Amino acid sequence: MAPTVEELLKLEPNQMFEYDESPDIEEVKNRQQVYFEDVEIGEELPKYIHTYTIVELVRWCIAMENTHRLHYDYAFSHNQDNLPGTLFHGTFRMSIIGKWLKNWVMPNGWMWKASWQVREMVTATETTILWGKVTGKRKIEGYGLVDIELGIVNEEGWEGAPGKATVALPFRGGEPVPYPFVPPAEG
Amino acid sequence: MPRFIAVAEKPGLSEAEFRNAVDRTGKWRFAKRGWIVKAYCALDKGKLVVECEAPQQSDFEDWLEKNGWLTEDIHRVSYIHEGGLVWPMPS
Repeated sequence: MAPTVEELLKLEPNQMFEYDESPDIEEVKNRQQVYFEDVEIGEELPKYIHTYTIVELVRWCIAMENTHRLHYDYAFSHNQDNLPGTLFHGTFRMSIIGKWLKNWVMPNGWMWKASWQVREMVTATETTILWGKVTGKRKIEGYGLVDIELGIVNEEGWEGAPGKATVALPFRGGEPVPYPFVPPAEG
Repeated sequence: MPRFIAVAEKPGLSEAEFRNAVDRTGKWRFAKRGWIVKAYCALDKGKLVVECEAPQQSDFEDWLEKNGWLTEDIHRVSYIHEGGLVWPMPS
């Protein structure tokens, strides 16, 4: 059984990586469906544990056409903006949360909605844990909805992206969640 | 936030001890508003030069003391040269 976030935070960062549950490309391609019936309230989603390097931050800057120097220029970040280092983007956090939820519900589920706040400065070189916990589930016609509390803590447990999400999962033996996904009336 | 620079000493300082002082975020970012910007060590003489941003000089002094690094001199920084640019520090 995978350790909880609290248990992980008692480890040194290099020990945390042993419990990284990020799938590789083959695991994504061959993903076994999680069905609505499989999910229990309180269950933890796979935790993605990663240290974002400045190279990854630069790559994200290029992808987003966001050239703000506080994301890749140490001298500027330290001396102009008086920050502890080059900062992990809010939009990058957004991206990995979306990918993580998508990976969990695929191939026949759907990430319906997610929201979170960008808090705490997270810098390149800090280890981060993307975590989530099921807080609710309910059936609607044709599929089930699962509510998730989520966040990205750094190695000290400082929460950098507290939020929540709702995903749609198929019933065991049922049809895939319809595509294109039409949100249910509950909004 | 002010920038401070200190010269410190720790006879017999080892690489392991130096690394241990900053080997995880909570050590080098020792407060919500307080972090070590750079630290230099000369192991052969047990000397250190450390830069820090913190609201108060005493925050930095506490950090140095916690590591067992004896502060020889400490100053509030006015300007920094880095990478061909001169950066003024908050007064």
